[in-house]
Amino acid sequence: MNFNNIRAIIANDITTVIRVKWRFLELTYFPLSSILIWGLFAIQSRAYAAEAGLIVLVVNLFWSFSQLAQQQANILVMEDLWSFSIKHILIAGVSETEYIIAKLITSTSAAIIITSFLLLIANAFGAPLLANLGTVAAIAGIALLGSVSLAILISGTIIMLGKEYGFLSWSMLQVFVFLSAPFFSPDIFPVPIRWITEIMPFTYVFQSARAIATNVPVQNSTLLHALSAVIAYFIFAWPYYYYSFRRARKTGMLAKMSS
Amino acid sequence: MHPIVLKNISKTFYTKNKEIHALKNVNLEVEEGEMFGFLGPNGAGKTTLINIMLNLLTPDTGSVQILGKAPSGDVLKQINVVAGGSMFHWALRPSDILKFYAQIYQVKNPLNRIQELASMFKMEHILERKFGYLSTGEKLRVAFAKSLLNEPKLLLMDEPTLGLDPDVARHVRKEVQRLNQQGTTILLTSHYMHEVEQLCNRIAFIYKGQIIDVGRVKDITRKHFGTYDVFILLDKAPSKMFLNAHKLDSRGKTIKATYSDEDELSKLLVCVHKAGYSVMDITVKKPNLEDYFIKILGQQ
Repeated sequence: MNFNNIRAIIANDITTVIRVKWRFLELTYFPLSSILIWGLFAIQSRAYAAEAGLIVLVVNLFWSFSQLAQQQANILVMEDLWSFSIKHILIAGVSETEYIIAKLITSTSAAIIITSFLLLIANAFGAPLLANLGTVAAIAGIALLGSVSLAILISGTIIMLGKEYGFLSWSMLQVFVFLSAPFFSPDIFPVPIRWITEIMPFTYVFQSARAIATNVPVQNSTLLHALSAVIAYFIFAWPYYYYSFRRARKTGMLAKMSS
Repeated sequence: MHPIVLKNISKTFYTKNKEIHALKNVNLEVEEGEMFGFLGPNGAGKTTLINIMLNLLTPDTGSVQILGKAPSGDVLKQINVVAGGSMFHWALRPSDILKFYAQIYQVKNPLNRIQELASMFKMEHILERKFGYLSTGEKLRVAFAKSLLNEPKLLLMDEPTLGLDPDVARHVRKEVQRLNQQGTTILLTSHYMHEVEQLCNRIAFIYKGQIIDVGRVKDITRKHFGTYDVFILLDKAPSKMFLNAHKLDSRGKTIKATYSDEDELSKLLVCVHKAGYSVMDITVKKPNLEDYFIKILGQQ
């Protein structure tokens, strides 16, 4: 592992974000506006559905966090594909591992910084987050591992199938979030979908988030479930990612995307 | 050590309805310090082969050795590539791009090196402009500067002067020659035959995924043509008797002869003199790479 390569890619990605002003806006605009919308809803719903308002707010915070970490990593990969820079990077001796680790570090750093502000805002709207900071941090860590795993899987898929599949960067998480039963109990789904819900990376993360919002203690078993699920994704993501590169080199997709 | 050794490289691409044999048992060795030309029509397999050398594509069969090893991490750091139409992120400035790759290639004194290359390619004035707003020639200069950051032992150049203004293309050719004289091995693909002829020591001609010829330009053209045409402008129109005696064609005062060696031309000039003609001008038209290219494509 060449840490110099990782450092260089991170610095280059930060420079790109600085040079493209709207990228910084894109990073902050959606999560910030979501938290404001649901924060105001939480205030208004105090009169008739206080818990519902807070559930929506807290779950949204974790949703935004997961989305930022995953989406930004994949969009950074897409920027290299759109600009054909990926060729120059790979032929400069940067390994696939160094490449994706750099992207993940940049995206998770951005997600942590932005979400910290969002957390303070959500707390100001009445979500009991600072009071449960230890649990919040544990769930955020688990959610982050889930997002990172998805980012690796999605990057691999795009490398293998081509940049036409770039839309997965900003749309794939939606499916995972839906099947992870964000605002409701998985029991609401028909039985076959409930099975799928069991293996989704964020099901137990959202379940814990709902518990925090309603001041119910989060069970250790729930956290363990959540951690097991995302570790399974993380373990599966790496061989898939390496296979994707091997496949893209074999089919010519990597060369095609590079020129 | 040969900087490039390709042994029995084959590559087939599969589409929905057909198989495309991009490369068939390609064998190639490039000598250290040489400037090697790689010719062939569109779709012949040139870029496929370069992608294999850069580890962007894996061959179905055969082995690739670049600087004596398989092309990966450390080896790739010692080589570089420049291609016509090279792209970088539109919003980055050439200075950002060069700083990034200088860090990747672990260039010592990167700022000095960037200044040196900026001066070499006359691009000081564009260093702080966004890449996306540069002209084709300016973009290529950035790509060239990036490709020389690590002082590569081997430089792969894929159509480097494609779409460039003649003056920029000439400047690029001079820089390429200078680099080669400094010891960098260069593999050049180009559609411009005169460019390859002017720059390269040896060439390989690839067609439909197979290497048809490898060797010096002079040897290849001699092998395929064997003869050259001579046009001699006389002071007056030659007589029919003179033309028939020497089996010559003529148009006006110009006679045309076809020879395989230079002794025959000397003999003709003696005969011309003896017959009482004065030679006003001589043009020797030797077959060049373009003739070769057209002949090979015609044959195939």
